[in-house]
Amino acid sequence: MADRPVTLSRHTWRTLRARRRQTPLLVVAASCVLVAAAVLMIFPGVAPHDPDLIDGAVAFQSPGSQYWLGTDNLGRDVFSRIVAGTRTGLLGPLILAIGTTLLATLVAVVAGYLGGHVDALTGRVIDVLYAVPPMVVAIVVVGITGGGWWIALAVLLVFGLPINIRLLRSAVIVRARLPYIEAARTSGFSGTRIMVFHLLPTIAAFLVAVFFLTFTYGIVDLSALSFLGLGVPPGASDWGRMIAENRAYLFQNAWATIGPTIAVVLVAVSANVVGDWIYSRYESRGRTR
Amino acid sequence: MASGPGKGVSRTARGSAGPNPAGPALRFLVGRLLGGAAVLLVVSFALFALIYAAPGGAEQALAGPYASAEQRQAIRETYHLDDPLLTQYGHYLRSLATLDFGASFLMREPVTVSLARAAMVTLPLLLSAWGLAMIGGIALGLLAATRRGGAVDRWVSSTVVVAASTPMFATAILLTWLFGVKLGWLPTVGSGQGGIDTLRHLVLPAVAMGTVLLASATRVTRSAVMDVLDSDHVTFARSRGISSRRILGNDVLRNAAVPIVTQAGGLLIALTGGLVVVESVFAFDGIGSLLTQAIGARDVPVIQAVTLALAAAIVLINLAVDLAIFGLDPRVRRGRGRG
Amino acid sequence: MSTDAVPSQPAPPALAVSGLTVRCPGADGMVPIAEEIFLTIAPGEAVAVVGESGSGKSVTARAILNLLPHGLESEGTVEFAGESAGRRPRGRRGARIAMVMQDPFTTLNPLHRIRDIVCETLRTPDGKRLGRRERRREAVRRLAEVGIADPAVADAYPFELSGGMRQRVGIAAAIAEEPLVLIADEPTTALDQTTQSEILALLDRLRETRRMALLLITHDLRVAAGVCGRVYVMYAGQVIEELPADRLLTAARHPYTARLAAADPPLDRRLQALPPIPGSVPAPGGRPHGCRFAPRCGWATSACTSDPVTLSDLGTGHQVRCARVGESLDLTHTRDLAEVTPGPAPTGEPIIVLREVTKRYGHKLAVDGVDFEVHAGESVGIVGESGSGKTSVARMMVGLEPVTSGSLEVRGIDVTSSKVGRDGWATVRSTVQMAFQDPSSTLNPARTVGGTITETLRLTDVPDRKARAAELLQMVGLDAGYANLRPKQLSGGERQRVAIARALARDPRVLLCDEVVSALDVSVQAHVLNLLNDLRRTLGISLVFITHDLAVVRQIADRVYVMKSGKVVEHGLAGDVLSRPRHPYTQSLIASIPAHA
Repeated sequence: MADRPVTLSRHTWRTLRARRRQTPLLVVAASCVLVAAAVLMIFPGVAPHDPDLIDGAVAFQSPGSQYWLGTDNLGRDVFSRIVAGTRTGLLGPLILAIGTTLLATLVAVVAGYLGGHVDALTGRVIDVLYAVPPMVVAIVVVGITGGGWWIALAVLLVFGLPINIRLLRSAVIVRARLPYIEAARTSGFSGTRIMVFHLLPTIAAFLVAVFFLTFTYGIVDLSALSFLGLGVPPGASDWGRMIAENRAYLFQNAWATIGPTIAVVLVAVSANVVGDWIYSRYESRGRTR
Repeated sequence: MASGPGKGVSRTARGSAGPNPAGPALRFLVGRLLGGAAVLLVVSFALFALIYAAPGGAEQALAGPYASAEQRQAIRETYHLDDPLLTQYGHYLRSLATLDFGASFLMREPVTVSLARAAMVTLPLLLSAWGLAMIGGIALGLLAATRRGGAVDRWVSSTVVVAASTPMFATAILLTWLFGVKLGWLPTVGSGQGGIDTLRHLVLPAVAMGTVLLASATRVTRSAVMDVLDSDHVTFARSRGISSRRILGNDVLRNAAVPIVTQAGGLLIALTGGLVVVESVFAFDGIGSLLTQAIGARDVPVIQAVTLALAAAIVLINLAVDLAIFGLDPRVRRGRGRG
Repeated sequence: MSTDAVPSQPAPPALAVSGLTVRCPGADGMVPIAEEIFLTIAPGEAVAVVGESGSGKSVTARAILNLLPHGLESEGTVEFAGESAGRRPRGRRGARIAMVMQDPFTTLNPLHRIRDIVCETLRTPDGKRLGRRERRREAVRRLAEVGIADPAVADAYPFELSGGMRQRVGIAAAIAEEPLVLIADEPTTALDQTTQSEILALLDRLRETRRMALLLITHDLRVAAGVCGRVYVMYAGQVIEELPADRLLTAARHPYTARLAAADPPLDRRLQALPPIPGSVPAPGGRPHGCRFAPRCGWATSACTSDPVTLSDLGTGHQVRCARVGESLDLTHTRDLAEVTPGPAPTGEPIIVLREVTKRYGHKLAVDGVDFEVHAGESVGIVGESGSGKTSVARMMVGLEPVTSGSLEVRGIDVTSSKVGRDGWATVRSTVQMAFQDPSSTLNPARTVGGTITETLRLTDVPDRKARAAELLQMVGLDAGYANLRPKQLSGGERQRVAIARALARDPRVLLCDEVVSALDVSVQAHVLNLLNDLRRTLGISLVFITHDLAVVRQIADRVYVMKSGKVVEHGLAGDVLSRPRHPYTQSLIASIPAHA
């Protein structure tokens, strides 16, 4: 690259700065994500007790060797319930993240590549929906219809799309005008081939970032909804629900509340740290080109 | 970029403003107001549709699950439930336009009264959380950006990533446990009895809501300020010997203000979702609690009124943001779009 | 503002730089970008620092201003009028030294009015900021000094002005405090040809009237020779030659300077081939131990590579950093090269025909009724400044933009018709292919060079795509090993070659080149121009060469179209149009090119 200016480009400085980002936080976060995923996959095997077993005789046990994080007001083992909570706690956000990434990519790539009226219409719709807070819509819709977990998920998915489409679309628009994409067009490749094989790989890192960020907000929003009593039924071993139900007993066994809270925070923060790292790494690379 | 180097003849000053300088401003304002009205119309229609789609239909939704046969009949008449759907929507719109949201069957009072009371409790909370987030966020973002790569910057940046993804209710629960249960310094339940007591009750909810937003505000400020610091016009100002303080105020802050203001509005809107959760944790008698209680009791007139109020607030916030940017950026003022 | 020097002593130089070294953080420790720079400028003198990308010329300018980007370190001394700039660097900026930057679209704060930008550094005698009315009055006066007569400009915002106007405003702001030295870092590179010469004339006039020292940083030898009295030539972080400007193009003694001058295409004649410089500029950290230029130099001996070479003084202000300076080397200069006449007027059927073609973007008419033809085997140039519509014409020819009205036929197929169909487009694609301007994004960064070419070959019926790809690389002068490299491992010139190979993969009859050399350094540009001329001869294809640079088009085109504001204002044989222009616009374009020595 000797005949490119190597000295003063501010992009170079961004890369240098990016390289110095500290990594211990990232390592911790990545391990957390991996552990959570592992727990979800081998779920029944990790729980020392039946998470739904009610035994009034052992209510409000303090953390100990038998019940690692103690028991709740009905004598259920808190740790096992946290482990069981990975089902709704992680699966929901996972579905949300996969759905959002696929749909947002489809809309963004097609609209951004085709441009013209399709893109203008998409832009309009996004501008209107952009300002709508998905959480409030979910509360209202689930509240009025009395709908369950899947409705909550659907609302969060639909109303979370605009911000992600906007992010991906602007990336696509920039790239669709780049010479190497235009060269593919003048070479004679079909639109589909260009979108799938040329355009998509160049925004791959954005997709990963969208996936992780949606996952993070999925954890936050879904657990907040179940905390409010919306989505999952009462008594379910769901983190948000557990926090809401055990909150009154903070003085008896704080861990029944604090435990699931820490689980939510840990997973959400870890996913966000990983996503943020991927995004910023890509950004600095994208800028040096 | 609107024009390449030397594209066309050099346009002299004021060329684009036209004979009436108030023209673009007025057109801008009217356009935004019409857009806002359209959004409210869409929201009202969506609510109307939802109420009809709800299990038990509009009748049960409006009368509540425990209504007697006479009450149901009364509801059918007040809400014209026997008319065709479109006519019903017309009636519905008319009542909304006169701010008549009906009566809450839970509170046994007009919805507007409940709404006004709750708003008086919520507004101080919302504004203090937002103020905390913005002031703190801008200060921290500025600090980090001007010491880029240094220890402060790295510390702020990683803390921000952690704080931005911590759910508000989790912060709220942890604060309750720490300050209410462990330390016992601050009240964790209710909105207070006025004066100092109200202020003491405000602290924990405001901090719980503000933390996440402070993180977002910090992140946006940091990157906006860094972009401006890297820009050619800042280098050019420095090459002319202008002091760093003046550059910070005159160039950096003014140029970074556009993304920061946009973000400030977005944050205020995002707060509405968190409001419901945080008020629920602290049993704070504001709009959020009103909504959760109404949902718990299926008190549809209240749900509907709160939703519309929130939608109106969002429209107003967006309008305020647009006006602020209109004032800040001459390119928007002259109808050139942003950037 | 400066007190007069004591008459008996000679006035100290306005700027004296000695031993200036700039380092940047590299893979292992700090790596020098610019090394041991010494330069002086007398009051009222114009001096140029010339060099290609990677020479360290811009970083030197920034170091003089003490405005290095975060992370860079410098050492050495800088003196203004005999005073060290050491301790309070900011106090020197503005009052002692100021800078005009390259891109007039980003150097002015977009939120401030012109009057506030120009007068930001001005103070009343008692140290107060000027009031609004004073600022306006002062701004109008100072804008008039830089050639902006319209007082309304003082109240405008930067985005309301053209590039040339913005650069004038930038100059007015830079010299507001009457600095002793003005550094102009590529001040005209982002501007159009005609605007360029106006800005250079303005800088020259200000230097004269204000007795201001001018340090011009440029990659353009002709600009340097036209404006300045003395020139420092930089290569790979060192000053390799210092000489009077009138010797720069004809009597340089360093092989690099001579070869650089030779590679710069002349405007007045077409050469058989431009003499390029092999290889590319070594990056900081990878620079040779001895003479920096030795690996690329045709005259290098073992003595050149063994020890660092020092500057030798040849007298009369000429210094050279060359180990063989004592010998009289025969350094080839431009004028010694064989001249050829461009091809005759074309005969036979045209391949591409445009009739009354217009292109509209919203309310803007980008192309306005253009007639244009390309015949088999000929080379056609389209010249014009930015916004002339030349690129739009090219993009319509390859179907990247739809035609608004008129007819555009490629081998008899009217692409403006809605019934072109699959086969029709296939014919168009196999007839016209395009190469683009920006070398950094012309290749997909995710693919290897071979991958890019073999993928394109899927569209043809070539049986062995790998072998054909190697053959295509060979045709553009790259060996087969390049197939495994990725774009970021290539230099700009190599990337453009690969882009040309990719276009040739479809075996087109017409190759469209949109500003393919404008982002390249002069020595690399010569390679690509020679390559294109060779390809045309060997493959018999036609070239459509779109450029803003008249000297470049002279080297490659048989026929030339001159475009302005969407219209073709003049066309004809290259020799006629460029040597005897008839249209006033073409005449002004040619007149604005800095005088060739």
